[in-house]
Order: sequence, then structure tokens, then C-alpha cells
Amino acid sequence: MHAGGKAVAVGCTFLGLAALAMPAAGDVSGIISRPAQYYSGTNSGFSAEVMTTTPGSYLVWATMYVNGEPTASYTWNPGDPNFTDWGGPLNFDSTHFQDGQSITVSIAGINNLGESGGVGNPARPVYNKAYVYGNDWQYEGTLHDGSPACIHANDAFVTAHHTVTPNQSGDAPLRQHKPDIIAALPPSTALYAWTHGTATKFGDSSSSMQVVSAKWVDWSDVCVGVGSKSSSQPPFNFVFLDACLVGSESTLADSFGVSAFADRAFLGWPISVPDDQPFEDWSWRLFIRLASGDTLLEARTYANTHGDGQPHDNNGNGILATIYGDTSFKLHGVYLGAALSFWR
Amino acid sequence: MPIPFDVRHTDRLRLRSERVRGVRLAAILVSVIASTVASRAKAQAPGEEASAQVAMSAANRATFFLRNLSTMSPTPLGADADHAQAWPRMSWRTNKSRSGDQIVRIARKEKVDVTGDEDSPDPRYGPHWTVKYYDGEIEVSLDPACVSVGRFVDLVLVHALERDPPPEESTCLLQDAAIRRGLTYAKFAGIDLAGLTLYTAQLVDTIHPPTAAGRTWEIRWARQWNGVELLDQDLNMSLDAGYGRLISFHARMGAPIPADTRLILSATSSATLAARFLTELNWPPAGLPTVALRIVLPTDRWTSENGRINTRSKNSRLAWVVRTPVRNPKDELDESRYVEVWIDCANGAVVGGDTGGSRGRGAKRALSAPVDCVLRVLGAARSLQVQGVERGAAARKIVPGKDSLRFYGALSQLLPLPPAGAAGGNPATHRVLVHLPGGKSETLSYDAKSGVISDKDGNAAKAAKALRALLDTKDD
Repeated sequence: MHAGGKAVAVGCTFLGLAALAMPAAGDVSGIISRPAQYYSGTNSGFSAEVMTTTPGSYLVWATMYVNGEPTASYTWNPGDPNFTDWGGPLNFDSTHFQDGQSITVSIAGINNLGESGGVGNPARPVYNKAYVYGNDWQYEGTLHDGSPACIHANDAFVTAHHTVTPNQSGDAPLRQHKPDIIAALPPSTALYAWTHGTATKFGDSSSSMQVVSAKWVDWSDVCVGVGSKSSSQPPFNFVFLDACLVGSESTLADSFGVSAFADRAFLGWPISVPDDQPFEDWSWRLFIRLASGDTLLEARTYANTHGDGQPHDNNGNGILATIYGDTSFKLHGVYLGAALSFWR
Repeated sequence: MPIPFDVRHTDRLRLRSERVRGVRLAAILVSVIASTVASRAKAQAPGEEASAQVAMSAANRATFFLRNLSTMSPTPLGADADHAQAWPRMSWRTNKSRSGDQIVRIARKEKVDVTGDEDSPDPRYGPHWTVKYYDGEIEVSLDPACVSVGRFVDLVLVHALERDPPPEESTCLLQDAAIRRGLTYAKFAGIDLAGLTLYTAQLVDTIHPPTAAGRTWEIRWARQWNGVELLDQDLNMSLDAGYGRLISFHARMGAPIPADTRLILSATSSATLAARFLTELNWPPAGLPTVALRIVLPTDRWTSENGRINTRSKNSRLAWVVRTPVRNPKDELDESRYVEVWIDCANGAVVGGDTGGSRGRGAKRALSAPVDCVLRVLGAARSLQVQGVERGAAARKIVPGKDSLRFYGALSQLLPLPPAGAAGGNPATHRVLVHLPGGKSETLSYDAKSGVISDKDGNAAKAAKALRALLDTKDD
């Protein structure tokens, strides 16, 4: 946050601050820039500034709010310079709020004359939707551990206030076919799947070892699905394909659009991996830590050093999941912030 | 008192030799004090708060370990305390966004927490105290006596390296240097190296685009006793590839040696019992099993209601681990499925196991080749035939016989070597024909002088004493 002595007069736009129980508005005003169409992921942000233009006045108090929750604030103390404006950029974690909730961001201030004012942005929706599915032979699949793996992922996404589709209470997550998956790509911002994979494809809930076009989602299918997102559908923030080989090259990570931006990441295994409990437990540990505010790199390190530790192939060689994109990605808690801090 | 890392770099060798002497004396002192304290310590439950006395003992030992690590850091002059793995670290943490346009400084808390380790109930790991520094950025987990380190995680170093460019492959630490550093770290941790066998040491890249935090040496030692490997008992380390700083360390050494080590049941009988068990489970075998002698912690895998391993016994058993290929009930083309049944060597009881398979096909991707193939072949051996390479040399057959613990135990005692170890070593003096299940066989080369044993692909391992004694080629 910054404060300066140069007052810039702007129109007094005082929106949505009635709930703040402020004194009557005076010549104190605010401005919010970087307005968002939606808030998605943990690196949401805006810039706000509050200023007093009454001659001889200076700010004695100012605060930024995210949906009414106070965040950064300023309080004048005797001996401080007399600032006429205060503000700056603020980043916050949209997963602090439930998916679908409409939230406002605002700034307010009071000057030494008791005049108050500020500005609020019109409410915008929080948008965090996870798509979770698995391949399990108790249903339509050919793998053993798809069902419990989905439960762990679902728990973490729910903790991080995502809406999870399909509904995880029934068997729908284990009956997702290729058209369902492709249809789920535009509206989703996160994806987890326990399934079969190759370097450029991953299977649906009924896929087997044999790569069959009708049951396998190709990287080009992903490109089409991601490319058809509307302007109100945010990009993917996180993709964890819990499948063989998907992390052996960047093709799939690139096609999801998560490998080249801040706070977006792809996680996948670089080699053929077992379908067994130690691997399922590894993913469980990872998700527990992601939901607790770890970065992806921290969560991976945790999963490799606790419980069963680093998973091994059938010959005892350690296997490390590969991260494409931003290792500092967070599922919950503000990006670059400590643990579950909500803003910075 | 903080170690002045600038001084350390200027006269590293002298300081190191002095420190090593100091380290040994201090280690003895710490151990004596810690043992006294630990004798009064109770079992650790996850999250249990340590008493003031235990907390002080644990924190002292953990800090001592961290100071030892700092003496090993070879980072260049001028490196900050986080990069240098010095002790203590910087008083704030710097988080940088991927593009570097956002930089966030977070003050580190000086408080040290000591609580019961969350993995304490797992007998593979055993009760531990966990000492957390800087709000958990550094974690050192200690056994109840506060002598040996079971886990070390240095997220301070991880954060420092996260945005650094990776070292060029040509400047990465060589494998033998990485292993040597690993052995020193194990000594600092108070781990008994006599019971460990080096299994793999791989240079890997796990972050793309590559960063210094993702280019690492991953080294694994397996725990063994009398040549018999203990399942799920190992020591894993992750070292940064550039300088070999210790990023993480995880030792699962909690399993005791079995009270009953009688090897009454043969490998063949155990395979028969496993096949019968599989039939009862309605898992018809789809191929011949492989059998390996292991020390295991019995589990509830075959009795639990959810079909998962929920509990493990604290008492280990000597068992034949029988791995049998089975059909995937939903995929005829899947040849990866297997069921593992653990058969108690003394009484034939089923004491655990698991099912497994693969989620795809393909080869692994690592910067250096794994070196486990020889071990895999020998571990499944039904018998060996050793013969000198010279024309007309006599062949000698080695079968498990009555001393099968020695036979299978010895076959587990191999120190893997990098592939160059085979090519650059002495030419083979013997051929070892390994008879495998199903009438298959595979030929390995063996050099009696160096003890190096290798397969046709150049994967090499060094036979330890027990295996060299078993092969006993001097009379050929």
C-alpha cells in the first residue's frame, strides 16, 4: 500500500458502502482500477485508492474491503506525515468465498475533519469449479483405485470452496465418458482424474489399456474444449491428471493453458505408474496440503516425505510427479501469501 | 550463534576438518544427554505437545543437525543464508511470482514447535518428535531418544531455489559425489549405515520450465538384515543437483527385526500356498509367480472391510513375498495386474499383501539410468549356475537347499552401480546363469575380482560379502 501527499480529485462515487456504517460522505473519494469480470483462483486482485480533497485535510483512517471483510488498512498516528491519499494493489484468494457467491471490493477513508467516503465495485461472481472423475472397475472402468482417489480430490476442492462436478455423492464421477469430459472443459477451472494416460491423451471412466479414440481424450480435444470457453468462463487454474505418462512432456499441460501463467499449474506422472494404494495415498496427502494452503511444490514435497513417502515403481525406483507451470500455484490461500492468508 | 558463512567459504577445508572433530565429540555428548531424557519420554501421539524437557532436548538435537548441514554447504561466497543452507536462516522469506513482477516478503517466526509426529502411529516409521522451525518451513523429526533424524524437510531451501535457473547438466554434481554427500548426511542424522544398501541414485528434472528446485539427485537406500530386505524400510534423500544441498530426507526405519527368523517354508511351497489363497479370493493366476524373501510388517489387507491396508502390526515377520500375475477382470489386454501375497516363512500363514497394476504403458524418463535390473533378476532366482568364462571351465550349481535364508538373503545384497561401472571395470571372469520361474533363465556377467555383476544391458551392481561368499568362485 502506498500513501502520498498529492491529492487527485475524482468524482465521489460511493457505492455499496452503507453496510460499513461510515459517517456521512464528505470530500473523501475513492477509485478502483483493474475491475474483474469474475474472481477465480487465489491470485485475484484489484487496485484501489482513497483520497481527500478538502483543503487542509489529510487521511486519518482508510481500509480496503473484500466483500465487507477488512483487509489492508491505514491509521494516522501523531508524528506521521499528513497523507491526502492512500491505496494500492491488493491481491486476495477468491477461494476464501464459495463458488458462485457475488462479492464486492471497496475502499473507504476518513479525513481529519471527520469527512468520509470511498468507492465500491459492483458485485462480481466468484468462479471456481472443479471437475473430478475416476476410472474404477467396480463401475465401468478397468482400474482398482479410481473411486477412493476421487473422494480425496473432492474433499480438497470442497474445502477450497469449489463447486465439484459431477455430483460426487453418487457414482456419476465413475461414469464419465469422453463427451462428458469434453463438455466439462469450458466451465471448469480445475480438473482431477484417476485414469489411464499417455503423453498426449488420457482415458475416460471406461477406458482400458488399449487407446481407443472413443474413450480417450486427446490433447487436441482439450485445445478445442479450452478454446471454447466463453468470456465469463475463467481459464483453468489447476490440472492434476493422476495417470501414466501425462507428465512426460508438456503437450497436455500446454493444451490446458496452465503451463505459462502465474498461479496456474499442471501435475502429472512422467512414467508409467501403478494403480495401487500407495499412489492413491500419495495423492491424498498432496490434496490435504493443497487444501491447507501449501503451494504445489510444498505439497509435493510434503507428500514425498510423509506417510509412504516417495512412491516407487515395481522395481523400487522413486517416481516424482512433474510440475508444469507455476510451482507456487495455490489451491487455497492467497498466491504468494503465507498458508491460508486470505489477502496480501 | 550463527555460523559466519562468509568465513566458511574462505577457508573451508581447515574449518571442515576442525568441525568434523567437534561434530563427533558433540554428537556423543548430545546422544548421552538425549538418551537420559528419552528414557523418561512417553510414546508420541500425533500433535502431542512435548514436555519442556523433551522439547529442549529435541530442539537441541535438531539444531545440531541443522548446524552440521550448514558446514556441508559449498555455495559460492556471497550466497545468502537461505541459499547457503546456513544456520540460522534469513529472518524473512521472499516469495516471487513466476514472472518476477510480484515480490512478497513474509517475516519468519522465530518460535520453535516440538510436537508428536503425525506418522508416529505407523510402525514403518515409529514414534517421533517433530521440531518445526519458521512455522514449519523447516521440519526435523527425531526418534523418541532424540538421537536419530527420521525426517528432514527444508522448504526454506526449496523456496530459495524455486525461481533460480537450474544448473547445467554438465555442471551437476556427479553421481558418486552425490552419494558421498548422502552418506555424510546420513551420518549427521545418526542413521546406522551398516543396515542399508544403496538402491538407486537418479538425477531427475521434475519441474518445467526447469528450476534449481526441480533438478535434483534422488537417492534411495533400502534397509536389509542378513541380506534380507525389509519391505517399506528405506532412506530417501533429495539433493539439489548443483551443489548437493540436502532438500529432504525421509528414513523409514521403524520395523524391528523379527523375533522368529526360521525359514521353514520353501519358496516353492509359499508359491503353492499363495496360489491356493488366490483361488479362494477368486483371483485365478494368469502366469507364474515370482518370489522374494522379505521382512514385512503384517497388514490387514485381506481382512479389512474396505479392502485397504488400514493397520500394520508392530511385530515384523520373515515372509515370502509371492507376486502372481492375474487377469484384470475388466480388461483382457492388461498384463500389468498382480496380486502380492505375503506368506510367513515359519508357519505358512498369510500375513499381508496387496494388489497392483499399471495405469498405462511406457518407459521411465530420467537423466541417468536406473541400476536395479540385476537385483530384480537375482531376487527371483530359483537357482544359479556359475561358470568361468574360459573354455571348458566347470559349472557349479547353487540351489537354495537348506540354507535358503542365506541364498535369498545374499541375492538381495547388491550395491547398484552406474552403468559405466560395468563398462569401465574388469572384464567378466564368470557367467552366472540365473534360473527363473517358468523355466526361463537369464545370464549375468560376474567379475570375481571386483565383485561387479552386470546384465546384458550394462546394468551393474556390486555384490556384497554375502553374495560373493555364495558365488564363491575362487576354486573354479
